[in-house]
Amino acid sequence: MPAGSTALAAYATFAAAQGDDICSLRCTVEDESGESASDLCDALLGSGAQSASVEEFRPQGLAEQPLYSGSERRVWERCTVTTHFPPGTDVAAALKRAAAWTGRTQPLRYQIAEVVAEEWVQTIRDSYRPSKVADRLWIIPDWCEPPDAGAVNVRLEPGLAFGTGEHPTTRLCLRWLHARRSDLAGRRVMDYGTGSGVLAVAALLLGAESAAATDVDPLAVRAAGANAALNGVADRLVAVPCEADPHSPEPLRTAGALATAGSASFDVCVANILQGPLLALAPRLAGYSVPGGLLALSGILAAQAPAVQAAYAPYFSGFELTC
Amino acid sequence: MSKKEKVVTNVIKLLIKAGQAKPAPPVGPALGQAGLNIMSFCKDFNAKTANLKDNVPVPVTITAYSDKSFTYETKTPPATYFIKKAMGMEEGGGSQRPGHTEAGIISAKHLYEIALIKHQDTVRTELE
Repeated sequence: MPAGSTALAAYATFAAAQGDDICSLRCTVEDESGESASDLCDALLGSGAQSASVEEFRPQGLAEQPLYSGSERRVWERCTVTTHFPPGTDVAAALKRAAAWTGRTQPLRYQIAEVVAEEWVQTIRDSYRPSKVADRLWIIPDWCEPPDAGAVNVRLEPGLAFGTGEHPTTRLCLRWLHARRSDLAGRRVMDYGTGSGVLAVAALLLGAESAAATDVDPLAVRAAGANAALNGVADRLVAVPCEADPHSPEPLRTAGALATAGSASFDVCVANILQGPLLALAPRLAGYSVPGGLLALSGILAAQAPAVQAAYAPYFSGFELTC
Repeated sequence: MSKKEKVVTNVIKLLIKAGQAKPAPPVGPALGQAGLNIMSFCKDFNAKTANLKDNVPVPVTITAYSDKSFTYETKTPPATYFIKKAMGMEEGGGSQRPGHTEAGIISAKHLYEIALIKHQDTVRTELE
């Protein structure tokens, strides 16, 4: 199977369409005046469009009309309005409604194109490049060659599961793991809310003996397993689904994976999620940690940090905040 | 000499439920077409709307620049969302014959509360 095809397939499934299936109808209205473009967008959004985008309309040969971020002018004089509708929408009827709402007497002139999942999925793919996270620690998209072959290179099939190494929260956690790699050696790691599995895999490559990973998204669980295999650490990672409800039974036990995982005690726990789940998960993550264990939490805004720290203070001490 | 300003390439409007941005339609195709980092936006948006109730629709306006960076603003949910909620109506509900048949009744008090919330949007206009 060609590299990256699993990621594309995963994206397509997530988009409720196979690669060739139509996932959206793109409708383009050209040469709309800047004054009315915004109202037209609102009218189209109210008519069933899922998104509405305004860009410059520049037929061949005409000069650019650059729009600067700080300028008072908020829109180009001549615009192209691009909207996306769910597949199967009667776009003609939606446009008629929108035209009526904006008080037009002339019908809108437009073009419709079918969008297949592959188009924008490919755009996402093209935007991934090898990324250096810390000294001799890189994240490498599966179809690229590592620039530094001797570094710790975490190979990823960036797919729908979050965790390509690009987001600041992922990088913060990766740097934390990297800084503590001497503490990781021979230890057991729990990656709660694993997404693509990048943190668990990185921990294993940095010297951890074994890791467990869990996520509410079953596709993430699959992605974590796939990425572990890509890095040759599949035999040291146990990936199981979990439920969003923090009072639900412990996921390793539920999945019957306690024997494979070894136990539900971990020397290092990392959870890169969001404030809501993190607040609710304090008892569970505390339960996973051995006395003296390390914990890293991320996915929160700086303003949310005090509340999260307060939730974990009954169980942990020695908090450090890194932004 | 002023700092070189960024050139705007797209202004994209979307409605996304709080905490539920995903790289699927509508976000995927709309941001993908502008060449933006979809995953980055999704996680950022979900973190920012973490305090809102799930399923609340959030209007988002994304400004995309020629260097593929972007900024975005969120507004309070659409007035229609509040009106339907106040009337105990389902999403997608409403009169079968708009302009002719009533679907329900809303109190003036509810309308006042909704106006107060929506007023937050106008106050938050950009400062030049």
